[in-house]
Amino acid sequence: MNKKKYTYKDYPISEKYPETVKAKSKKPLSDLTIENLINEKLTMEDFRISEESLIAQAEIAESIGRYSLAKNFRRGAEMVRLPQNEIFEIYEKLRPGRAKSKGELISIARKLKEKYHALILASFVEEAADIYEKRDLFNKRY
Amino acid sequence: MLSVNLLIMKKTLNHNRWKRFDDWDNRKLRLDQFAEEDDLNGFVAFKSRKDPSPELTIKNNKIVSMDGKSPKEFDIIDHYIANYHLDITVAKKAMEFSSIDLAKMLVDINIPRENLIKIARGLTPAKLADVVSHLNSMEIAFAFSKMHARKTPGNQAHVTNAKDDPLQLAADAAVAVSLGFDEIETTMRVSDNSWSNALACAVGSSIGKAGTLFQCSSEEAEELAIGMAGFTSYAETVSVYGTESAFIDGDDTPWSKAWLTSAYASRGIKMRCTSGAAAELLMGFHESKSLLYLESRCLCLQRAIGAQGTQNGGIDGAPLASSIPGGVRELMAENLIAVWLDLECATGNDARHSESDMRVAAKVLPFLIGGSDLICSGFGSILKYDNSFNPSSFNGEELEEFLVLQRDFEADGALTSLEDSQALDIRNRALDAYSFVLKDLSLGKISEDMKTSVLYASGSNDTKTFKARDVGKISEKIKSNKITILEVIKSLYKGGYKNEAKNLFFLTRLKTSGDYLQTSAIIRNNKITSAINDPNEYFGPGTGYRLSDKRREEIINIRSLLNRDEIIRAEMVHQKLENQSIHYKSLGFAKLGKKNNEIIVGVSPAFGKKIFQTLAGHKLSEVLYNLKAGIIRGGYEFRLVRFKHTADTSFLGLSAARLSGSGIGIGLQAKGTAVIHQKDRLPHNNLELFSNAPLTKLSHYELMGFNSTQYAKETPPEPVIVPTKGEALGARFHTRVALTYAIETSLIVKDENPEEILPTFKDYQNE
Repeated sequence: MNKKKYTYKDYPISEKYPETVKAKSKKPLSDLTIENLINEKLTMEDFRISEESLIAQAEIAESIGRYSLAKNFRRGAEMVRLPQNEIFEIYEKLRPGRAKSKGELISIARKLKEKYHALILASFVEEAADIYEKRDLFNKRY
Repeated sequence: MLSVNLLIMKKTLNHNRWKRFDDWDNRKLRLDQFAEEDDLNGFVAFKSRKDPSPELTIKNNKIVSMDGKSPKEFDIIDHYIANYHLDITVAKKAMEFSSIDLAKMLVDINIPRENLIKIARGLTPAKLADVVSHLNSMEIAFAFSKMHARKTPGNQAHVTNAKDDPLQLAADAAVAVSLGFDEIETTMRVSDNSWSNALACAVGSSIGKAGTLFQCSSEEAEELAIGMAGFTSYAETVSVYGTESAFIDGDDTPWSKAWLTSAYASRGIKMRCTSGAAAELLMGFHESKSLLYLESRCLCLQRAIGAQGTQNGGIDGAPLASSIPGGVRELMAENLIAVWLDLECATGNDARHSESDMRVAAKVLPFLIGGSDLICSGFGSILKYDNSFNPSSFNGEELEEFLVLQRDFEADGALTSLEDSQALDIRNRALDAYSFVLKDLSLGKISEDMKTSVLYASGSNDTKTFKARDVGKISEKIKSNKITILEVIKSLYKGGYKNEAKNLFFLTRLKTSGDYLQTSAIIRNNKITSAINDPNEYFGPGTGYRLSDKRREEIINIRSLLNRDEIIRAEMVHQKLENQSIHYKSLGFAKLGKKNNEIIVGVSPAFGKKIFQTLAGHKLSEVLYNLKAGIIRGGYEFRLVRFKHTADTSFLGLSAARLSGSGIGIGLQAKGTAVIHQKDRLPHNNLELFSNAPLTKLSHYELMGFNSTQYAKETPPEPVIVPTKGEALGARFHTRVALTYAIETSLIVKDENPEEILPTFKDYQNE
């Protein structure tokens, strides 16, 4: 299953191919049992979605023509690597008037590339920088 | 002359208009406001003079013009739509279709949904709006029914209360789950209470079954943090707007919203966007565009940012949109654009758009009978005053009306009736489970008194529970102690709430696969059900969603149904009472009357045999006694005869009259309907008819007895008037009438002779 692309025929993966599902912590779905939880063998990290699951969902979405939903899943897959506070700091910078210059967003894009190898997210932020400059969104609002 | 003029003036001053307008003013409808159409000020539903004409020019695979703007003139929304919504590979062909042809394709059962979805990827916002504006309301509803993404309909509940009381939240969440809601949404009066709300609703939602999705609507960062802690499973607070200025005023851009959308995906949380007519108008940034054109931009944007779905159809803007001519049709049209763009659609019917129950019911009907991913994007499962989102179209008060609408139309609104005892069991279980978790996790203590008050309470006005400050403390502790859903699951398990623990665990575990991030995903019977494995494929009658026999059973079985056995059981109780009041002695075959001073009361076959009370609840003995009293007051004698060949009032009356020495008789059915008849008249041409049995008082029967004697003396009296206040008597009584009358007709024996009866009135023996 791992090599081939997923399609809508494989959906829902958790019901049809549960053995292929792994959490972000790499724990397989079969280890996520209530007994293991009660015995303190599981943490929140073991219940987090993995990049692989999101890529699989992106492939499923693409197989039925939901391309923009798939793009979101692929951005989400990269974002799995980002800690919560980083996600919110960048979100804050993407709001109107928060970044004071194009350069601020460009350096965020660089960080996404270099620190997280998040290439899709990096170009997404670069694109925002470009449009924000065109629409004059680097002005302080309060 | 002067005095006449003064009189006219006085009359004019007292009544300067037709009084019916006063009646109309007093209707709840007149609390609603209505706006004049005014496109330049944004008050127009479908088409403003400032809306652009649909158009798309592509050169060398690049967009050089979209809806009349070049890329240089694009605002942030145009940029995002051009970059991410429009699929250049299909756009040229798609835009070549005329709007009217596309409109016809939307309602054509032979054109598959998927073909239309593919075309929509190449249509501009103005084109989408133009196409649906060719459809009338009926066609919009039909097209929506064909085009929505998931076949099985669903529904969403609000679970909130005015005190942010977690005990009540737990109990009410459990009730919402058992009513069948696929999603429950909470929010707070005090924003700091969010963690408390989340924990309480999560516990409540675990009662009875697994898989009810849950969201806690709060500030963006907090909402995602609550989701990360595993309490919630979806979000719908990512709002988008149709003008750049409204967007900026909302403190976001399409890029920041897309970022949030991906953030939810990265944490395995389902999300949909929010938009809807009149948001821009409320915010003062409408750019003189129509509601529909602006919403079309919002929807293209939502598809572009990769949200799986939307809640639209005028959410907070619904009341304003509905004040504009065609506003409600516009709300339906924007839902249609959403599903045409292949988005999951939670179809509004959320914020109450009107004080008129009729307007509310009319608005929901197309979605109830046509199906929708989530018919209401917030059905108030609690009372109106407890709804922290503001009252919904339907609330706790009106819930049974919705259940009856489902039954009337045999339509699946995703809800199921609840029985008295079942409700208490569920609430009790939720209260116990929540109390245990709260104590076990050292978050607070709950007394038995508090639990009892919440158990029976319909709303927070009836509860004796936490003070607002206590709730804040609970919320703060959950957050600062970093309690997650895992601690809650462990605690439930430890407390013996193993099924509840397993139910919450099921949903938590599901997040790792991302299956419920796909379009229109809900969970039914522990299985993911989405637009992928349950697609809506409609090709006319016999296709699309149909009620299964099992589901139909659930829908038709509402509370308090009447049947024949029920009527007979009730009458057996009445029979005991009547046996103490009257004794009927049979004197055999009733003979033709010889005395001209007698009035015969002719009663029906089941009278005093199977039926013992009238529809008004009078004992039949009392009815007879009063008739007799009236007859005696008129100076006549009373005879009682039972007819067995007919149960019809007119024929009973006529038969009695023909047997009566005076030529006047009274026909009386067991249910209380009565007639005064004369022997030479045609059956249905009686002297007086008392058809409104449920309203007929004993004094009316007395008067009827008296009047019959006056007809006998040929001195016609004032007819008895039984006043009505316009009660819908058919609705109130006809089920019972039909069942009761069937008992009467079942006792009819053709050609059977009438029977003379001597009644003894035991209650009045001493008089």
